[in-house]
Amino acid sequence: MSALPAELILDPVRQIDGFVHACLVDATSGMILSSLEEQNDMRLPVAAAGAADVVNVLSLMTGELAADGDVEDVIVTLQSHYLLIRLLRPGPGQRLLLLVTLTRPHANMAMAHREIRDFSKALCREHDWVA
Amino acid sequence: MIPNRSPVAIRLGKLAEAGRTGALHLSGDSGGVIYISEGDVVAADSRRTPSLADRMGAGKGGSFERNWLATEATIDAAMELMSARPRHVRFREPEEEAGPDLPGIPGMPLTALMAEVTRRHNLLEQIAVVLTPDTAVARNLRLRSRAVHVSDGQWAILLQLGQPVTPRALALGLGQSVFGTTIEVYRMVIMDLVSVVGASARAADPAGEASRGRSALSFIRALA
Repeated sequence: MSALPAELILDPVRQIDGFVHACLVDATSGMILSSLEEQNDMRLPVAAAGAADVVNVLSLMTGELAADGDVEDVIVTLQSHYLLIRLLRPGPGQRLLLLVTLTRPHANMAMAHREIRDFSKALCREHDWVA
Repeated sequence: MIPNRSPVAIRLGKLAEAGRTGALHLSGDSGGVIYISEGDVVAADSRRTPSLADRMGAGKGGSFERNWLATEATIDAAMELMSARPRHVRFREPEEEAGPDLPGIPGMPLTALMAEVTRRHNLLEQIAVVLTPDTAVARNLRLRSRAVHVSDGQWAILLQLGQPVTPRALALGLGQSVFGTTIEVYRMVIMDLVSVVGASARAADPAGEASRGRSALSFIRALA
């Protein structure tokens, strides 16, 4: 088990090109559990709440469709930013959202997607999380 | 009651402002205790939510998980205590009563706690037209769809729904957050897996209050 403090858990994500901010959100309650900001020009609570709403709607959709499996990740492309949301399952009944915001001119979306996926896998391994 | 205007919140605010350390005890069936350290809230226990000890389990998990569980349990309990109307409120100094042993779990500034309690209060207000933590619900025997996909957390709740039960009772039985369980039950009402007991007539009316409320859960709108 890792003894990493909550505020340091996201530190590797800071290395992604175009990084603006990242947070871990409890998908059930919408509560921010850990956050990291490079610049304070966006309202992190709004972004976190929006990410929770998006995943909630998509989960309802996949539930109704009886699609095979839950949401894995969501990519939102804005004119100036990319928003990447990845769903993590630390344990039975627990769901976390990793939200990463990047500035579009400085980010490579495909690379960022891969880096976030790799970070999520490393995080799950380090903490003995399910996926 | 708006959480930050409740008598308990006002009393807690004065203690936090003075940077006090100790335990604020609230009497009665909806009472409990809020522990503060140098003005920050470090833990809370309510008789109407799973205890901090139950939530923390046998001490397994890393610091992130322990912090998450402790924070969730504290906010879940604090939310109940903010709306309580205790006959007696008593503050005990640390010499009279030791706080919970939670090494490595940082305290929470009262402003942060109140912001989260208010956000949750707003979310429960949004869904109150359909259900509250104390509304009895039951599993639907017939599915509208041929198949649905549920999360493992929702499945765990469904397994407990043999007979009508409230989200609070489910949470206490499962040792989970009352707030989180209420939200998950609400999501299953939306999916028609679960119904509010005695609400079939209202639910059948597409223009009814309950149906209008079904699309109302929004984390963005809940922000103060």
